[in-house]
Amino acid sequence: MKRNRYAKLAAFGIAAAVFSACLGFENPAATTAVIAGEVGEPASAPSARPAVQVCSAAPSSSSEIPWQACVSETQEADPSFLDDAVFVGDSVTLKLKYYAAARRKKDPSFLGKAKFLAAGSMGSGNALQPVSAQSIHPLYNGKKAPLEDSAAKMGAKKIYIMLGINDIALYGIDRSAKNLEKLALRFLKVCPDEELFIQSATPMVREKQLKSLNNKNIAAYDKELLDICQKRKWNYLDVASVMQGSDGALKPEYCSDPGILGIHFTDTACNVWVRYILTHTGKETGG
Amino acid sequence: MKKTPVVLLACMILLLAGCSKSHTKSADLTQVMADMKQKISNTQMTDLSADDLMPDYGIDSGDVKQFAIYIDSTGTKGDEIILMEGKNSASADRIEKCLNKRYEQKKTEMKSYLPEEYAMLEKCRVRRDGTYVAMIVSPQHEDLEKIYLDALTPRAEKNCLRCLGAAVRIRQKPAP
Repeated sequence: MKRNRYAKLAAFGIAAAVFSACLGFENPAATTAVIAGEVGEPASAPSARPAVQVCSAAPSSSSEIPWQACVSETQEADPSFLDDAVFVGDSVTLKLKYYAAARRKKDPSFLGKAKFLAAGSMGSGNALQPVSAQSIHPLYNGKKAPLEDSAAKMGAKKIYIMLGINDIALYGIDRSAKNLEKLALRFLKVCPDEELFIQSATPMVREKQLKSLNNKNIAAYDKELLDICQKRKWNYLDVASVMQGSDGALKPEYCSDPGILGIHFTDTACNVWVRYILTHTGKETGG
Repeated sequence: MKKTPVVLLACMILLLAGCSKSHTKSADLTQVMADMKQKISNTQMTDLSADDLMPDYGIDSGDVKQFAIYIDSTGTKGDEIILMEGKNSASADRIEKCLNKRYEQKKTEMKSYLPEEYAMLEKCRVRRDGTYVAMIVSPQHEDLEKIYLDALTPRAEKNCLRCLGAAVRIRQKPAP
């Protein structure tokens, strides 16, 4: 009888532990080295799969809302279109930030007056955490604040968000997408007239794919982002479509760290990215 | 004869007083950075401008007499070299506070994301030398700090040493 009681208590304890772990996505302690933690756990076989054009697929949710989330290609807009833009992202966006700084020395109009809120390990999960000395929120004007508040101080009217690489392995595809949706809603709560451009997460080189962070999961995550944008009537930018080769992996010439993480961009990739942004403004005349 | 040690002592005091006036630290930070770039192995770095002082570091350009910033541009490394001279001590205090904040934020970002870069970062620090404030984060930080410290008034210090040396030689010279 006692043995049965202890067995039941043990089973209950295990169930409680599993349940609380499932709730851990908002636990700051769970924000660990997503990519670094996956080093040494490569996918059993690097997946070679045909490229997925997320924007060419029909939305998975049945809806009467006309297809509009995917921003169509237009004439290239003048860089001044981005004067009131803020780019929010992780280390991939950090590269764009410093690339823009370098380009602006010779061409001050490069990327307009766009500003950046980027941190190397940022994800929507840790961006949703409260601001603290240990939080990942980047400093702006010397102050750490929620992203939406910093963007408002920057005078942002257009928000370009690219997050997910640091979320997928930690939170899974579905929760990562929902976290990004939650984060995006925070921006709109602070500044309801901000225009959102949700950018797809971008692929990685084929050889560096990991067990959880791989191109198949990135594409699935991007598909969920598209569905969210369709539902919310936000702009969706399929940046991944111009970064990937026929196998769905990041083109080698676009990757600056093929021997390390295999996800970061070269200057060439940044140029392609910027061109994509300026030809997908959501305005027929290009802004 | 008895007056000689007193006279010599007076000369030494005057010499030291003269040296202390020229003992103010000074360096051309643009040149210092150019010298550092010869040692830096990271080829993917970029210079930042005055436009980046406030948004990236919270530093008021009104506090800055001169500066040079060189930072990794890939988003994957922690290399960041910031050299600043404040206009005065109070300005340098504010700059130092901002750079300490920047240093702590780098630690927060790198700790879980780039462990090797974090290990390198922990060996580096923000340093204050008079109105000069620097944060030198680099795998070559020891070499770069040497360049920086050597640049901070080597001439004045050498002049002082020469003064002291001359004073000692006068003292040792046998009386006629």
